[in-house]
Amino acid sequence: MTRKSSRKHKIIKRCKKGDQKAQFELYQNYVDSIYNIAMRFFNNKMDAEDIVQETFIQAFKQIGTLKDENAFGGWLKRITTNKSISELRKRKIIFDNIDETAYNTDYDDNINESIDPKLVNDAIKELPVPFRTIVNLHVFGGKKHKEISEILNITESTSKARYRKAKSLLANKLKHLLIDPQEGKFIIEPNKSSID
Amino acid sequence: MKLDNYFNIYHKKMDADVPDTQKMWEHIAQEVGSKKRTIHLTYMRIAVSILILAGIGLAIAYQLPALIEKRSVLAACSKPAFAKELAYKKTLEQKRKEIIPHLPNQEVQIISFLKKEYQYYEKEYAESIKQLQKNNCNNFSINIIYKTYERRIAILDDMKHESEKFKNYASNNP
Repeated sequence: MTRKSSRKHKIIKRCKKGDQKAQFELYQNYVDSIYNIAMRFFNNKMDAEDIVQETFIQAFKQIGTLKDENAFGGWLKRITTNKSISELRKRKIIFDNIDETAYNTDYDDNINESIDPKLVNDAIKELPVPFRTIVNLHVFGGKKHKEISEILNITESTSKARYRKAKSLLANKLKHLLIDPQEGKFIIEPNKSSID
Repeated sequence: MKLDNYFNIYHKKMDADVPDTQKMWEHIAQEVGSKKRTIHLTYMRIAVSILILAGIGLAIAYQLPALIEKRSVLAACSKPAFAKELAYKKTLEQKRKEIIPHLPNQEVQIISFLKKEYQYYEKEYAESIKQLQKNNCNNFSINIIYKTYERRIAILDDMKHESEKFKNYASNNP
């Protein structure tokens, strides 16, 4: 066991005993990554903050059930993902049975490698929610399509197909990137706009 | 470049800046802290329940000797109503049937038997008086006192009857 993981184990053990200082230390270590996961699902600060708070509250309340301290990070991210998906479902966002013909495009997932990552990030936010969710889960959540299919209640082949379509839509958006000279923000061409 | 490759290289740079984390923490700490309060409340409830049960247990334990005493007195005094009284009558009848030539011995035996019975009820009577002194207006003790008193009177009657019988026999058979 490395020194870092040993220290993490100690912090988690103290958290299990209700030590609030240890809880705060753990929170500081993970809040950035959890916030980003939530932000990718919701695209707005308020919803993301709510999810972050709910995630940590649930984690600290149930930390006693965690047997393997090494699995804490993955466990925390799973809580975040599940809460996000659950919240999206409450808002009637559907992940299965969507009309994919509305997003037909010639497949091409090549982009200019010099594009600013922040712009790519913003383009991902503009994707329709079902596609954006798969990109978030696969690219940023590190989940395989089999896991994604179980989370979203779709088939594995649907998950793969939608991911391909998402990449195509993204590449298409980024090719047609126009910068508003006054505001310095990019705008999407009308016939390439996404529907949320 | 393929998007998948782009993601592999740049995905960490796509992270958003995290806003005020302190404010989020304050809310988290408050909610998690309330869980502690709930746990404390639960422990307090358990402690109070244990105290109440202990109190009830002590009260029962304090009353138990008195209850046992009552039951034993009742058990003892219920004997005359059934087994003891029955046994008394049987013994008296048996002794009365014995052959007259042994009369002086018989008289001694019968009177001696009656005295023993009398002394038994006298003892029970004394116990009941003590109980009555401990617990004022105790109907239970009063009942026992009454019964033991009744038995004593009955035994005295028997003693008187036997004594007269022997006197009559002695005067008729000098």
